Amino acid sequence: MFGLMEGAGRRPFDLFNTFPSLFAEEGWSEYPLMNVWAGADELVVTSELPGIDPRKIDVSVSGDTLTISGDREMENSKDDRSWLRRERLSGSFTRSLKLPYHIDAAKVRAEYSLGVLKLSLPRVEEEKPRKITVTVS
Amino acid sequence: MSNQELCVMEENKVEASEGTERLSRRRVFAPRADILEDADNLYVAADMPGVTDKTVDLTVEKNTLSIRGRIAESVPAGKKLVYGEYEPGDYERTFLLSENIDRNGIQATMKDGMLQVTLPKLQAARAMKIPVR
Repeated sequence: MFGLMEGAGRRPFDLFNTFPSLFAEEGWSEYPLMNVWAGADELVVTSELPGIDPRKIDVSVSGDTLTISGDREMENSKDDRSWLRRERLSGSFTRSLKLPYHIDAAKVRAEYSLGVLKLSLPRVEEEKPRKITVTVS
Repeated sequence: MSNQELCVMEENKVEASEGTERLSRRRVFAPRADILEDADNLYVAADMPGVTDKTVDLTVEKNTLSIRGRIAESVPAGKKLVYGEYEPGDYERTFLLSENIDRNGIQATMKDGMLQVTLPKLQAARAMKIPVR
């Protein structure tokens, strides 16, 4: 349980059938857990990844798939210390999430602050909804 | 047994109890914690994403160490939550200290949403190496 963390985004992303109140049961089967926020032309994904060196977090976007992977080292695990209790997880993790539209990978922004990763994922220009004006002929 | 030097009070709160004065409706979680030990100290590491050194509180009262952390509201402006797997919340957890902990020497740091507490053992309680002749 405390070794390698694995989890692929098996849950389909469905804009119409998800309810914000339905939070996943706490557990490690899928790590890290993610919240997805939507605006008109941009998605924001947040994820709690406390105590990780941000340089060890990899974010990649390919089409409409977001992948977060990384490695969490236990800085406490020095040789002369013995464990009395272990609840926090360590090891490497990878998770993918399918998003509702294609993302412009070049414009993705990632911030890591207070152990929370925040990704801003703009929609590709060609896919942005356009307003069509109706002209009277 | 060293295990008794720092016990976790197993009251894994998920929601603030009734009657507590709480202005926000945010949920309260018990942070996941590791406890380690060496000859001189006990070490507690707790995951509290969203908490800063300004919004974390540690108090020692008699034989309990209480940890509380508050998070700032973090809803991205103009965005709507469309898919949620976790719910951000505040943190609270209590630990029982044994007589062997030096209460005045407890130190804590907060970095990247992780709290690290060092609890020194009293001199008299420290393991002594006895040389075998």
